[in-house]
Amino acid sequence: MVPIIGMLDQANLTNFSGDKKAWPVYMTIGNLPSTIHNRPGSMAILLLGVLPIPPKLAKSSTADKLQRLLNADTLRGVFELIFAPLNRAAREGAPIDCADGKIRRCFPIMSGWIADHMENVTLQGIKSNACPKCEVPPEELGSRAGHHCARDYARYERYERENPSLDSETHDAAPSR
Amino acid sequence: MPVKCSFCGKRYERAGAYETHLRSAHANLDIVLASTIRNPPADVLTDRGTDLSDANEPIEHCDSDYESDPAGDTAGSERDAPDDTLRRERETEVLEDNTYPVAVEQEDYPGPGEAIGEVKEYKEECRDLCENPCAPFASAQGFKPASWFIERNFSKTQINHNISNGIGNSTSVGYSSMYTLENLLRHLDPYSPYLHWLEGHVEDGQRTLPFLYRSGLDCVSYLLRQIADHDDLVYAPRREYDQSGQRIYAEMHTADWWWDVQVLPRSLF
Repeated sequence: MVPIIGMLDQANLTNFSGDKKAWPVYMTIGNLPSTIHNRPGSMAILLLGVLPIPPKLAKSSTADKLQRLLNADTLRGVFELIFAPLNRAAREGAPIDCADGKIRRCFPIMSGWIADHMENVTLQGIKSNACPKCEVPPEELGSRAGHHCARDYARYERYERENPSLDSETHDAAPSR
Repeated sequence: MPVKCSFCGKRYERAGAYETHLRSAHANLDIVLASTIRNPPADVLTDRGTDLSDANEPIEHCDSDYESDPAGDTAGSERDAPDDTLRRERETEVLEDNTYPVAVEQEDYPGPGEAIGEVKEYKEECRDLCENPCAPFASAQGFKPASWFIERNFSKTQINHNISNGIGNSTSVGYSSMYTLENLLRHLDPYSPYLHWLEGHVEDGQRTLPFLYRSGLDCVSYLLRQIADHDDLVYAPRREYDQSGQRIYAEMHTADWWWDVQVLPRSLF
């Protein structure tokens, strides 16, 4: 198995000529020890892609709200395109040449994603005051009271398919198990 | 000021002793170093004393902490006499250096990591790397100026100027202009063909946005193919325990997630 660790962070390139930004996505594999990952110049973390930056939108506008949803869908479409070769390999395995001269059947599986909160919000289609890990209500964020079940994005997807009239805002009000 | 080995935390006051330690204890870190250790030419061994600026230091003591420390001899001999006290001291020292505790017991997940074939021309590839570490440059005489240009972010004009005025003899360095140097640099990474860029287009409802990406599978192939990392790559999860039987969670393959997700290959069913 090849555990894949993805990384995403928005990088501000310049404040001149209209706030230029880049959105690089990086990846590495869990087969390498962390000492290799963390060593500058080890080339263990690869640039996987540079995502398109959606245009800036005003805060409160119905049309912009729709555009925001479209932007989120666009981003998800980009990720589907980038990780499409991995999907098949994760299910069926792919023969890959390894560094010791052997060929192994490898199953690359996404294991972790390192990102800031706002990147998680964008990627996973949740509200900015929601937790990307569990279904804790926003007013209970930071408190230790109560136990909330972990987010199951596959379940949300199923729920969305079964209820096509609902938009992605239902993620916060997802049905309980 | 003592130099701390970034791989094991040992400290050395002299560069010669530190280099000897790197060559012996971490020989697998660099293919060039590894090639000189595994097949040491006779002249390297005889020149070692003068080369490393510490002719009096015996090779077998190269693993000691603080090369100039009087206790270095004792520390150096602990490899031959693994006393419990010394081992405990060594482990304490390792812990104080904020590195991982030593795993004394480990349990491997059965099955994964089996090879299904051999990579073609792998031996030739390794031999070429060892015999000519400066490839695709003809010699170190060509490689060193090139690396100097790149590290200092020289512009193409500056590089052309330096080549025409400074380096001169293009037959010895292997390139005569930035153009020919770029051709060599393109072949510097033998696995670079894995990392080609693709262009994609997405529509956001108003416009079509172009973006660049690489195939995730190609990136995985590139990382798994790096010969420099072949001693560090792990293909199966493992549970590690310290002396007191406590589980060690140090790397991804020693944690539970990989162990839980790993599926046995079909041949083992």
